[in-house]
Amino acid sequence: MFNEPSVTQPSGLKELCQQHLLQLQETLSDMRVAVVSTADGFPIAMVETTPQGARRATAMAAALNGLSQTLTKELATGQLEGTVLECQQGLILCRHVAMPKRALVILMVVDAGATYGHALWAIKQAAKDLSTALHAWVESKIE
Amino acid sequence: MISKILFIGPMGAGKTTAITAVSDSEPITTEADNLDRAQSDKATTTVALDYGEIYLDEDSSVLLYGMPGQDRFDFMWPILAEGALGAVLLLDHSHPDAVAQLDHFLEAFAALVSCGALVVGVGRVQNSQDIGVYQAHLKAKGLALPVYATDVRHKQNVLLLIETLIANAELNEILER
Repeated sequence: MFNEPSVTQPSGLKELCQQHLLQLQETLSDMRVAVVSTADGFPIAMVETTPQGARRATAMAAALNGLSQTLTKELATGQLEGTVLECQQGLILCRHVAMPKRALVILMVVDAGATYGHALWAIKQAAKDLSTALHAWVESKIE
Repeated sequence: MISKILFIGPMGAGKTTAITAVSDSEPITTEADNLDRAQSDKATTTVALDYGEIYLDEDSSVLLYGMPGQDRFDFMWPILAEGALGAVLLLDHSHPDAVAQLDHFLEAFAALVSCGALVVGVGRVQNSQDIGVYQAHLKAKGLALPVYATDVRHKQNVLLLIETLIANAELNEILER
């Protein structure tokens, strides 16, 4: 309705996020969907989903991440690292990705066949690697 | 008695500010950096909900739930609306599409509108005639909903909206008996 949200992402950001999602996909054969979004819910990169599907998923990921962060703060349990939803047909994992000046969110859905620990490790590693790459990318832009 | 009231309306209308102005407890917010500056120039935006409380007495309180205003977060609306007494719809008069936004939220919360459980608060009005636009628009749609000019930074203004909503809800309850 009204004005369609129009958020232009910096050149290269999408490619960098997409590359990390593809690496994540390679490490997890049971991965069903993965998306990277801005903290306010705009999709940046996605695998195994359509842009329309990604828009819904990233808005929900942003809400889940926002709610998880607030819950973490309210209950004085330090910094939020991630959220896991255990579902009948798999896991939904959401992870905060630290980036200079703004935060991103990575959301991944894995099938029930996936090992919990492996999925958790994979998204943790992906978020960490993406964060490192984003910091380097931002620094290269400044130089 | 515990009542639940919603704060609804487009992004940047002042829902978080309104809850912060009246809440007796530190409000709970879920803010993220706002990258959609075309919709609103504010720095952050609500992505899940805002929450506050007004303590009336030992056993009574009003729970205040703020909805994220963007359509992409509309999946949160029915979740938060469950069991609500009514809603305060906030609009920003300086927005060029304010009347269209009114229609959009009337449609999205049709169940509350149909039972008169909705109050409209319009911010950034220049004069009393500005409010007439919204009153006339509602009248043309056959709706008799209260419309107030408001500045949600001021507690008394927000309390007026809440009190009107509660009074209307009580009246409707009596009429339904």
